[in-house]
Amino acid sequence: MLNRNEKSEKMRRIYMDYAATTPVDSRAFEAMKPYFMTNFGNTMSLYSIGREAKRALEESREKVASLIRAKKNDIIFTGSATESNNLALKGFAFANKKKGKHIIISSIEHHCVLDSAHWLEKQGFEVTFLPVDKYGLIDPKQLEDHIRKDTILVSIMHANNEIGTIEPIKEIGKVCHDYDVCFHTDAAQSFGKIPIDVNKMNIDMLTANAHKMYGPKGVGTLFVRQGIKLDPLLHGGGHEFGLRSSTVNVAGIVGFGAVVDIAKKEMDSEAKRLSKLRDKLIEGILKIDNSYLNGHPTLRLPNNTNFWFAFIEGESLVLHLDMKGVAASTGSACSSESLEPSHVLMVIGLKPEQAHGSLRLTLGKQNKNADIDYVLEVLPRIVENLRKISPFKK
Amino acid sequence: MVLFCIPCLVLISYFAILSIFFPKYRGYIKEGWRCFLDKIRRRKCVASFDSRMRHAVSMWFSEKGMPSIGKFLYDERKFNITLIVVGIVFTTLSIFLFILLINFLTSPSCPGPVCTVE
Ligand SMILES: Cc1ncc(COP(=O)(O)O)c(C=O)c1O
Repeated sequence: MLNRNEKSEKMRRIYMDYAATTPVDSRAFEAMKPYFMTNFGNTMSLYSIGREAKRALEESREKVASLIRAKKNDIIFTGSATESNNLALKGFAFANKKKGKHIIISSIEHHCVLDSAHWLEKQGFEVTFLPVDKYGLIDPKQLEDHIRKDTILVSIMHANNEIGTIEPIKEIGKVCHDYDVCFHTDAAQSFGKIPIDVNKMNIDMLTANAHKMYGPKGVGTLFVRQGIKLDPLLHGGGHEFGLRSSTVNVAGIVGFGAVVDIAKKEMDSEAKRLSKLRDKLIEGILKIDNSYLNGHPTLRLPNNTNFWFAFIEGESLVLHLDMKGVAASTGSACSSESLEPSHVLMVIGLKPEQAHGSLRLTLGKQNKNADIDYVLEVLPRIVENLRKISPFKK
Repeated sequence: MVLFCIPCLVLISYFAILSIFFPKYRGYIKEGWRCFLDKIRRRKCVASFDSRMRHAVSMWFSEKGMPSIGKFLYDERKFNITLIVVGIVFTTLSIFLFILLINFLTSPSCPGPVCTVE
């Protein structure tokens, strides 16, 4: 039963889930190699291999800082974007609780921000979850209306991981600065894909990671503008300016530095190339009956597409695309016991059954025009066949 | 509780037979076995083996112009019940055939399964 399908598509493997993670760039991999077995020293050690590790760490710090036009010593390396977001929210909240206990975040943040905020609520902080419009956009005016005297922190993501909508960060940052409120942004999805200037965009803290931009997993960063006080989450040896104790993952950080260097050179051309592929994919997929685009038509990441298809479960789409060799993802985490539609899709106004019919295809370096053609060839057939057996369709 | 595991066992048997002729199906046996172990511990099948199979089977019927069968099997409960029924029928048939074979080998003159082995 499965063999014929699989036989014909056996050779074809197309990865279209670059928002989930990316393969490591071979150049970054080469740069990392010496730091596993030769220059494996501890950055805190005084002897030569320790000094070499420290030099590599500082070089990467400089590279990461320069991508966002930050100062070198404002960059802290962490273990992931999740950790950076936790440090930004919890660390800032506890270090500044005397100033106030009110925090504002958007309602479409990644779970690591949402859950940190919920945890802070349990610790006595008050959190406002800002609504978004049907495209997932925050209105800076509405933010202004929610800022209070005791507001200490605003955290709004730069680009959404599901629908790719790019928020008006500069304007949001300006509102925060007008009211003397610290502004943090989670840029895990936009870092290295679109330009970021922390000064021009009024950003006080910024989260990013390496594995979304062809670097290794297990490396993240938090930009913390000089003068901003944070309580560390990890106490110990005092690494990373006392904000993140733990022996530094030098190889991973060198890989991060290498991909940042590559992004500096290739970001613009890659963004243009991916935008073209994205637009072609969107145009093609919207030709399918009862298919709709989620997120903003233009203010979106160059590599992000997200749709919902009426009368279909996203999980089925993903499984059938996988059988045809295409790796994609859905906004619905659907298990036999629980139905949990994506909070992002719900907040932008989709009904649960619509959110369950969502499909995210995110593009990257390995995707070519032929891959888009292939997806546009197989997807309509899958949708058509799934609709025939759909329990939702009368 | 054992009922939950039967669909996995049926799928494993199906792939075990297929893999005699096509070695590439051996991977599915391993996956099916892991799914079986997950189910026996009352966990969700980690590699979604069961739902991938359900989707593959229902889509196959849909593509072959039998969407109503596809629609029926697309329903998780109905798919599992179908596999359980198939499992019971095949097990009964196999036992019956096995007895027939034993009887034939031990007393070739015996016409049916009720002959006793001497
Ligand atoms: C916007 C956003 N923030 C944070 C994270 C968490 O990243 P990490 O895997 O590095 O913890 C992700 C990853 O999916 C993300 O998309």
